[in-house]
Amino acid sequence: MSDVETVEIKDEELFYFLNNLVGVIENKKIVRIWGTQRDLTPQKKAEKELAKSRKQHDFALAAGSVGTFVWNFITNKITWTKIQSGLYGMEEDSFDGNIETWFNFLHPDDVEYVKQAAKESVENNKDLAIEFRILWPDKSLHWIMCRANIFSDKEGKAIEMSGVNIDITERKLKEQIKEENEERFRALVQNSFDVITVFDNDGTITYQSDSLKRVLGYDAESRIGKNIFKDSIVHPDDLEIEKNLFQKCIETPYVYIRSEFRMKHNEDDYKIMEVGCINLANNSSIHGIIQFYRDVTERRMLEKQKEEFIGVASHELKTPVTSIKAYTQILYEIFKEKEDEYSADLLLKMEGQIDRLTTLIKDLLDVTKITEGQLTLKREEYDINELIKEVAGEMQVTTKKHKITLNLSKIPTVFGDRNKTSQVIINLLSNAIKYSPEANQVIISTKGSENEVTVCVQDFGIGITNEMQKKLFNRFFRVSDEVASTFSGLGLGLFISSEIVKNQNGHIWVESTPKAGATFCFSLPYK
Amino acid sequence: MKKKILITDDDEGVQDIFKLIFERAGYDVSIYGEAVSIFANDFTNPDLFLLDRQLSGQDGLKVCKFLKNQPATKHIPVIIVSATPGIGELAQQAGADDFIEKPFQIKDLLSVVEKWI
Repeated sequence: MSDVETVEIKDEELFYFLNNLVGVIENKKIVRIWGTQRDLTPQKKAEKELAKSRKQHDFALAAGSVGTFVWNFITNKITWTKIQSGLYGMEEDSFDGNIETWFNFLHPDDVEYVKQAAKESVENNKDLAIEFRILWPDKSLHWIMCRANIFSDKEGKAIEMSGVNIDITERKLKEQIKEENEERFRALVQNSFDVITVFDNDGTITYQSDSLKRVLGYDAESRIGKNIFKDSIVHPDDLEIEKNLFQKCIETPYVYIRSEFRMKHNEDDYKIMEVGCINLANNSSIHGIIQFYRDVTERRMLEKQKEEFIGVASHELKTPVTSIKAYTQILYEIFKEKEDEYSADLLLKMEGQIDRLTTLIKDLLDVTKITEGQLTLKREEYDINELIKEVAGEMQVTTKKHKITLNLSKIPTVFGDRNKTSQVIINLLSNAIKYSPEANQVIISTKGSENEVTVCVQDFGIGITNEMQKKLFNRFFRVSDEVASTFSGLGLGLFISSEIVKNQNGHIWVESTPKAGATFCFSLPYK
Repeated sequence: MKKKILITDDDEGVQDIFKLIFERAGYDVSIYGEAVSIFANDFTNPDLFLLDRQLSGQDGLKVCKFLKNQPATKHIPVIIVSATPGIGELAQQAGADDFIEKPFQIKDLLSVVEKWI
């Protein structure tokens, strides 16, 4: 049998043994084994230690790629290690040791600097600590960090320089990329369309983008250190809005808050600014509150013009409508006098259509007023049941198909705007009729409770899905499913109705199941 | 004797229907399409003024103020006609006695006039 190394564990330490074994086999079975055993443990231990330290040494050198050199001032020759050759992209022992040759390895732009630094180091007997670029034989560029000491003789004369070179190319590249990124982001922020400002928690400006100059005419520099509570450029009437925005922004970190207020242009009038604010106080690189400002002055002006135009247009439309309505009524009278019932009836229907036209025009005008916040309401005492009877009577004329059924309970009088409330009832009734083309009845009912009266209009038409119910009272909203979009209308009615009801401290709501009709209700307090 | 109504309005269609409405109702009607004659007092005093706000470059409200400040006409009732919602307040501020919104029901127009004439 051959030599075998085995391991025996004794007291948790590893032991190495070299065993010489001889075995005796009789009748194909191992009968006896004997041999010698030599303890190799000490030998093995020593070998291991050596390998370990060698590994550490190589690792240390390889990791930072540290090369060592000695520059002898007397012979003016440089000697260096194998690794140092590697740092210069050269084969071991291919360096001739001349100082001039070494300077040729340097990037031309760095030669003067290195010569100067070396000279200073030698003359002043100071340690050398420099970074420079070198070019390898393959023309690749590398960064070297050099640290060296000067050794002098007993008289203080410099004999030699001895030091290390470390390849820091990777680190330098990373720094370069980082700088380029910072440059890029700085350029993006400075040239952003919006104005970007960073505040600290008490409203002092810590950063201001250059775009401020373009948008509001102030030098960005001049605003740093200013405080929004003391040096605000916001319109005096809007200061509260600015403060509220800042407050709200601080209280809800990492949430975008929006607002709008006027800010004074340095050389011009006030501009309307759309503002966004976000608190990034816990973000380590921003550590503050960011606000973005966008000049929307032109946009708002345009919107205002559009609204005014709609107002003017609807006003203009009323004049010819007035004439048409009057002619229709006069003709109706004339036919009635001549007992021409048929013609008189036609004119009655014409009048109904003109009233519809008038409602559409009024809605247009009302919507612009609501947007501008100018919906004013009268206050008078009136009887809702009477009003409903009047309106229902007028509307019944326009529809032969649907019967408007009244289901009115006894209710007290209400204080409010009779005219506007009649608009709401007209709107709900006409919707009920419009959206139930297959049905023949519409029911309007009133109910009085302790504090308020509730009016409900029920139809038996196409109904409204839950999703639509949520959006129904929005401005411009029109039901848009396949069936409903074939119906006419501006989509203003419910919005206006809801505004009118809300402005009188009432509520408006709908209950509906698709295909089973809808019931629109609104409530108004008595007072 | 028929009562006289002096009407100012610059729209031909509206002028026409006013004439029709009031003549059918038994009134005498004189219609002016501009304000110059009124300010120049170039008219005979009617029993009632019906002023539309739209008056070719002049606001009917101004005419109302003028008439109400003149001793010769300040006792004559003035009714303002307008498409402006909220005309009620404006009319009152100008010194008018009443107002009616366009478009109107003929019966409503007639009843307002009857109330003051």
